[in-house]
Amino acid sequence: MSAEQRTSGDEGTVLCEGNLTVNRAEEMKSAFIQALQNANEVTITFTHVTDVDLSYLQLLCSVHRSALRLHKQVRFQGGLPEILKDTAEAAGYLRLKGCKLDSEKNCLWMTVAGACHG
Amino acid sequence: MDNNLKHGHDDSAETIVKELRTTFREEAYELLAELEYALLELEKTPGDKEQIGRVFRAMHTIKGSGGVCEFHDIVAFTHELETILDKVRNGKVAVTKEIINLTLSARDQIKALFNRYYRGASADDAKTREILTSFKKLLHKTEEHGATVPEGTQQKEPQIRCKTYRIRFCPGAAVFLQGTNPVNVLNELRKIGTCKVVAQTDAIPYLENLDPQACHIYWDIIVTTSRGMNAIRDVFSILKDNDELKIEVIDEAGHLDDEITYKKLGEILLERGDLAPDDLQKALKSKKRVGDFLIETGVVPGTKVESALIEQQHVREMREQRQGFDPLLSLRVSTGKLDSLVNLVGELVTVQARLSQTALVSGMTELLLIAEEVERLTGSLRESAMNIRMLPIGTTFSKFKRLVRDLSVGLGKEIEMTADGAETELDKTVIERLGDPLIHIIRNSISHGIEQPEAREAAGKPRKGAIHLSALHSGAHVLIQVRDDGAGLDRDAIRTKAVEKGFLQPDATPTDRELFSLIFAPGFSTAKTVTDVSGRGVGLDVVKKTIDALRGSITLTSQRGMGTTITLRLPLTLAIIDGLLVTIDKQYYVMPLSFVHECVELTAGDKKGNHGRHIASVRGEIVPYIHLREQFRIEGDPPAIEQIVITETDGKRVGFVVDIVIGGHQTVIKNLGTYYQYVEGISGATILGDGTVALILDVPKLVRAVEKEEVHIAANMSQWDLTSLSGSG
Repeated sequence: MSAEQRTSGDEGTVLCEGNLTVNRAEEMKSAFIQALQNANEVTITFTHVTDVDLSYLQLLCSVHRSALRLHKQVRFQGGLPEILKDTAEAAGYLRLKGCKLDSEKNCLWMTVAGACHG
Repeated sequence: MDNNLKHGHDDSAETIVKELRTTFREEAYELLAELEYALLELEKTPGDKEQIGRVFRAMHTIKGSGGVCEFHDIVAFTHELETILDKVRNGKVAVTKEIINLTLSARDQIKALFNRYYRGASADDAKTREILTSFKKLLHKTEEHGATVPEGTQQKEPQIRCKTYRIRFCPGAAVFLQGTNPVNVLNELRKIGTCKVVAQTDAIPYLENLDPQACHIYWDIIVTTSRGMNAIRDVFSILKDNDELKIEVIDEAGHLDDEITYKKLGEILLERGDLAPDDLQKALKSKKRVGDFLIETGVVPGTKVESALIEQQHVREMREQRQGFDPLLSLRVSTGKLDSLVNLVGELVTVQARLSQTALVSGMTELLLIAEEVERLTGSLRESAMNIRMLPIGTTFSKFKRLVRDLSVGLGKEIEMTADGAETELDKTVIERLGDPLIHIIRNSISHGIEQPEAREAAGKPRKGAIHLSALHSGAHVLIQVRDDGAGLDRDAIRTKAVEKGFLQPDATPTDRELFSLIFAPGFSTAKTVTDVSGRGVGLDVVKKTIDALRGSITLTSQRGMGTTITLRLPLTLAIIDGLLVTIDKQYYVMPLSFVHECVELTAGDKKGNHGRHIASVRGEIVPYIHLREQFRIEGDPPAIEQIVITETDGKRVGFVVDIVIGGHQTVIKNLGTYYQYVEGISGATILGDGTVALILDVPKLVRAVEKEEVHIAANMSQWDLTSLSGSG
């Protein structure tokens, strides 16, 4: 289980692994804060994800809008875990329009919706 | 048909059952058609629970209504079938080709049983037992192998008694830590109806202010269910005090607005409390779409606009579905009543024409105004009455899917049938009479057109042949096309056969169109073998006759190796046609405008120049004509300048010489009655504004009758020549 954060130059990576649920919400929040402080472009990668809950989906929203405010970029890299797609779909997260901060239309959930239906 | 009524019933009970059977008759055949269609759709998408539900519902309704009508054998049979289908519905048995085939056979057997009651046809009860035994064997085999059903789509329920609810669900901040997963609540809601869920994320703070263990999300949910408010509240019963829940009914059959269109986006957002009235006014004043304006100005988050749009779309879909289901929105009326209405409207049109003429002659302004008003109203009434008789042609199209499926399997061919324009509407009578000709055409495409899969592959074509049916409106006509991508017509084979059978002179050089039109001649067939599908030389001539009787026409185009297209051009209705009113010696005649191309003059000089031959030169083209005055043996002299109405039938231009061409006429068709129905060349009559009768000319039949007469005369002439020669020897 880890929410590892690596930074190299302008680019940072947050590796999300294992159980992505409320029990680890604080740990993951810290990893994202650190990544956004140190890099202009943050990529989120997944490995061996066993569970995802709403707290994680909410955290991703917060990460994305924080990045937008700082004029930084956050994006997913590699394949998205099925469980993330399923949870997002069940929670009514998949959408066609982003939030009001998302002027560039790169809402993470639009990407997930594309991966689910595309 | 009533021998199945229980003995011991008193007369009134028997009468009731009889009446119920009569009432159910039409619906029974509709349900069988629905069952067949759903099975064929299910064959394409075996995991589709909606289609499984359709099959089950149709079977269930047949059983239920059959019980009321005391069709005991049908009830017993469908009961068994229902038990089997229930296993399919519950996912215990997978939908396989064998299940589909057997259920289709069962459907055919139910039809045979209905035919026994309704049409006095015979039905083999042993077949019922045979089908059930096959089903049991198949189920045993399937269950042994532990078949599973693929995941399908959410099953929809009929929308008759459903209500649509708008829910805003705001769980308390502590919901994650309390062990309640809101996603489970959403999933429970999905189980009770058709559900749309949008998570609202606008309250989620930036990272530094985020308490990641607190819930900042809330949901907008639209759910349509017949289970009522209590069922929804039950789903949320696990809520804690801090959770907020607002449920309101936004759509309900029969109570609220039942138009397809629903509230505007701004209205929905106002009702939800997501938009202030002032902001809506600003949005409406802007030249942009309300949704775009609200998102761009940041007045309303995109997710809320999206949620409102989803509500709008959802309610619209539910209303559309309801309009298809709601018994209050449609009424079953017998065809007899409808025919009587159309006849009365026809009478009214005739009387109205008389009124208009009388008003015109009288010169009374007030009467003229009234006549105009009556004319306008009669026109609208006529249009409405004719519209009631209009049915979409799709019901006929769907019948052919089964035909193509069964015939292609029998011939070892692979064929896919596609259709478009199923929604095109045509008069009920035209649709009914169109079924057989279309069956003949499709049978021909399958038998002669589409090649065997191996031959197709060798020719560089896909293994699977295609037959495409399409229908579209073209003015007062409908064009129905059957197109296949088969071998196309063999010009040389047709020519050889035509010469062999005496349809064509050996030295003739017909155009493709003329040559291909010969395949519609009686007794013409180039099939090398006679199969049970086609090749007996009957069929296409029947098609031609039926289409002629419908005042329609057929054209055929074909390219060797590429395929054949047959186009039927049919009038929208048989009750009223556009005609051309003409006179011969003060007697009125109507020629269907669909055959008429143009009118030219025929002077005494023209006739003299042609030395008595009935031909005219129209812009350099020689057009033969039929002199109707002579044809109908009308005495008296024709006017110095007569008129030739040039028509086109079977790709040939033929003129009809009349005294005067009056002009276009909306013709209400009346039958000639039993004594005159076989008069050749006249297809009906109409009553004109002044009360006189005008006969409607049957253009193709007249042309054929004259052609036949000329062939007969020519044969007699040559016989006379031979006799005179032998006599002189």
